Amino acid sequence: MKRNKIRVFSLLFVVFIALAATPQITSLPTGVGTLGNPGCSCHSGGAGTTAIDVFGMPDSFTAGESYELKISISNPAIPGGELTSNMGGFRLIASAGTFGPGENFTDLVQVLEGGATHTELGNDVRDWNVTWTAPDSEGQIVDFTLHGNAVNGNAIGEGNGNTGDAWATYTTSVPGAATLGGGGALIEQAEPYEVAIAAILFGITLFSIMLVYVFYRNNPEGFNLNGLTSWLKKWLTTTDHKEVGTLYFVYSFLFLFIGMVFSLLFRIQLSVADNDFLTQDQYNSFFTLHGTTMIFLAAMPMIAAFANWIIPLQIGAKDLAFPRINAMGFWVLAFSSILLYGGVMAGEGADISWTMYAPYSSSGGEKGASAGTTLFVAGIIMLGISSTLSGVNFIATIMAMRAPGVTWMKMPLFTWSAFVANAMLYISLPALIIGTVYLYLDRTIGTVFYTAASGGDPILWAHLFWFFGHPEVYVVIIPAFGIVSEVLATSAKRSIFGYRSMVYALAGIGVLGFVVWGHHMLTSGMDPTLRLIMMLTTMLVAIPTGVKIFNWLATLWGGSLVFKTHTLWSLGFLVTFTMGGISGMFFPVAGLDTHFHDTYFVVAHFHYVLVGGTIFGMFSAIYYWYPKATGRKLDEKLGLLHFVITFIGMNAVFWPMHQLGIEGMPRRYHTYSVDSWTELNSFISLSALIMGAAQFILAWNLIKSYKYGEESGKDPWGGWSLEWTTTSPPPTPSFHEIPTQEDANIHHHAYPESSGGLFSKMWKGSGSK
Amino acid sequence: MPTVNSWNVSAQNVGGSTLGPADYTIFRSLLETWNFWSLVVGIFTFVLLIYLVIRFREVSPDDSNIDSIAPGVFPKERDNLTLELTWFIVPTILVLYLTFIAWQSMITVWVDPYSEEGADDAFDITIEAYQWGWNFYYHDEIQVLNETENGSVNGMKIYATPMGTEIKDGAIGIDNNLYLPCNQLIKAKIITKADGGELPVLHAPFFPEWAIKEDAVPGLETYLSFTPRETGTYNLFCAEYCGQQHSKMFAKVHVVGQCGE
Repeated sequence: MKRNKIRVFSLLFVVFIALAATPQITSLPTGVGTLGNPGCSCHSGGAGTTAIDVFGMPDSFTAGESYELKISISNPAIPGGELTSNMGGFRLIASAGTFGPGENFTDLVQVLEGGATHTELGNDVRDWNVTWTAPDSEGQIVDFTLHGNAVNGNAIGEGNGNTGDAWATYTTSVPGAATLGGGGALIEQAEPYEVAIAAILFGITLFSIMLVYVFYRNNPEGFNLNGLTSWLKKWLTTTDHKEVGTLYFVYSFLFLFIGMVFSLLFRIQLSVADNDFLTQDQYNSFFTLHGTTMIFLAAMPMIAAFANWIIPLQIGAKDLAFPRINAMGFWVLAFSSILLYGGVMAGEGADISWTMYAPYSSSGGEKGASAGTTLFVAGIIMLGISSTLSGVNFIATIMAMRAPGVTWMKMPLFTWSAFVANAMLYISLPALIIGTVYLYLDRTIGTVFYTAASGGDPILWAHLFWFFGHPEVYVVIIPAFGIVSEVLATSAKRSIFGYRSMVYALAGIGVLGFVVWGHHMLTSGMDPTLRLIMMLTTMLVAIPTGVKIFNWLATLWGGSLVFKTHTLWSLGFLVTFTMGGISGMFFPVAGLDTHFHDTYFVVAHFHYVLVGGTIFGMFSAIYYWYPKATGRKLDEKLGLLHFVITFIGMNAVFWPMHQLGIEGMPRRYHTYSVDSWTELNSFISLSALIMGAAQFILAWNLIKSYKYGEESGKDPWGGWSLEWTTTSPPPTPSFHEIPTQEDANIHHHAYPESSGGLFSKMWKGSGSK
Repeated sequence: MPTVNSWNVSAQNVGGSTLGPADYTIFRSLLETWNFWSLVVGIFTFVLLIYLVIRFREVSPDDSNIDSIAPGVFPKERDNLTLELTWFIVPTILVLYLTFIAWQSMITVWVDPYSEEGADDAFDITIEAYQWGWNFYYHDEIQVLNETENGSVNGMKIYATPMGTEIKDGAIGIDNNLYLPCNQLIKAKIITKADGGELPVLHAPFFPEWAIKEDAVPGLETYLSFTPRETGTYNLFCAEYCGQQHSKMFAKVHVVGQCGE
């Protein structure tokens, strides 16, 4: 027993050592235009194909010795008169040592603020000689940064003499002789790719540590490897709806973290103009994975987690209709994430954005999508399979397994919302799967579904994708509607106002959601008649959504509102989701969409809806149902801190993006050259870092309260639906005896032995034979 | 001296006595209308929310439970048909009103440039998008006043770019600089080009100062029409994600010539 304990701890120790050795971020965001020093900073065209060469760099330096460096800048693509073209400016800086002009270059090269640059006399020269004198200490590595400009030197443009200028940056480092003792390897500068992968590994490690900790807390006596494997085996093979729900939850939390790491990395890239923290390829695959991860691997699994956990409890069923299919749905999802991330791990991350627009995504080669895209598309197909499997389960369960008294119009609103969401998913998924299968075939066996030159149609992809994609955003927001309905009613100690109109509004959104996809394509060259139709239908979605918001407000009327953490999240949802809904009204308008389409205004809008809507709703659900799942409440003080930072941070991150969108900043841009956008972008990036850090409060709260939380009892918040009648945590199977839901509107309770409608009879009929 | 202009959308190109197709003023006036109604709806909702949250907060923990809420019992339903109809009908009217306004702009934005009155006066160009840059083909000429050495005006001449290219029928701009005449209807045909044997992909020329864009779609000709009202240098971005150097795919638009009265 004791030896096993030692073995587990030494395993953890090795993991910690591995973590400590992961690469560190040391990239330096620079660009010629942001130098602020004389030299070539007077020209700041875009980063381009300028070639920089430096000759004479030593392999390692000796203290105090001088080295003669030769610099050459050229760019044949810069237009201009022949005599004056391809002139170059340069600025060379080093982290240690001193510079001086090279031999015979005293008039052409000068030293300014520690770095070397050329003088005015050097304007017409393309090659320079510079001396660098090494520092006195050999025990260091000196980093060199050289910014090189190629300019056309022909100042006759329209008020802009530097048209076509381009710069590039060359970095290198030279180790001191002392650092090379024994031929030891150098520590190289970290690549953002490595940072991302390290962060993913870090997440997985944290996750493993958490698993071990939870295992230990469950049974401190039986803490050994044999116990761990059998415990893990139980989790890997479970079909109980609560345990599969927990798997979904933990999984979604892991990917929420990974998706956040990607977003923070590209927020650092975007924080200043002309930044080069990430390369273009890295940026493109990071925003692709951020979007796909957040939608498919974080939001949807978290919804599935709550649907798994809560639906059978709310409708009084012992388990879901198809427990094994349910488990299969989860494991298909888990393995699809390996496909989605396979590309990134190999350095060829998919760079097609979450919309995967063909024909870029179907093209390969030098300028096409990267090789990892094929794996990515295969992963999306697997995600479709997973969603289909879990969706059929929820629909069947809700239709056929409701306890006596839980009629359609007496069903808790969260169950209703999950039903509508899964029905929508079910109708829309085939479009995505067909589209991605076409795409997969285009990429692998050379079909031409999206190749215009061979008779294919690029717009077909946009139609197929958005026929799925727009219902999909309702699929992730509608369960949040259900959660907020439950939380607000319970917190106000009242029943929900207008239960029936709430259900009809949900159904209305469910139907309208299928006829609005074209507002994503208003500028795509689609038929103008379709544009008119989509504009009208899209505007109509505001009506049922408005009904829901006002019903929520009316629910508060005459109540006695308690401010628990889940209440705060739901109230926060009301604020941010309303703002996101209002900004959504800007897009169906053709005259506005011609500007807003594919700008940061869109990014602001859908983050208000997905973060301020879905994520806030899910956070509300975490604080609301955590006691039911574990028997202990989450810490309210930590919860308040988490809410305040996230709510303010969320608005600080996404509100300024509206302004950037109005100013015309396009989305999916690796970098931008408009200096006036820097201020807002820096503010956004800083806020994003703070908001990201705040999420660790929630993770800590979840772990801490598992052991130390206040015990909750059956019904800690005063809810009415059936999940509050059972113990916390509920037994397995979830009800030993099928409960009966009473009805406060009827005074004499006379339920027939077997109530339930047509579907329930069909179900029972086939089962009893 | 930054070479990339930092520009301010609201300050540029809002003038013009008559509205051309896709004139910037359409965007501006629609944005103002939408901002106004957003504020009305938002302020109404949030003031109501704050009032309700403060007025109906919990005062003492043993407040009476008016809706008979107990675990396992569907609570007393409450609704009010008049209220629910109110917040069904009022937003419906607002939405229909806004759709009506938006509808008119729609007709103006995507008018068929070749069926329009006075189409012969329009300045025709073709914008060709490739990975990653723009080619511009001119089908008409830009005329500017010919100023002689002593400052007097001597008739009209064809506008020549700083590189010496005359902007006339058949001229091609391949250096990411587009030249347009002022105060004249521009009709731009948008096409794509495969570059070096690869497939052509989607792009979208986006003129942020004029608030218009339209996708370039392989196998399809799309159009934009608009009227620049002020001379100056403007931006052209690519707005549809097109691969590695999507963010480097920009050009400068130079509006030249006389804007007239």
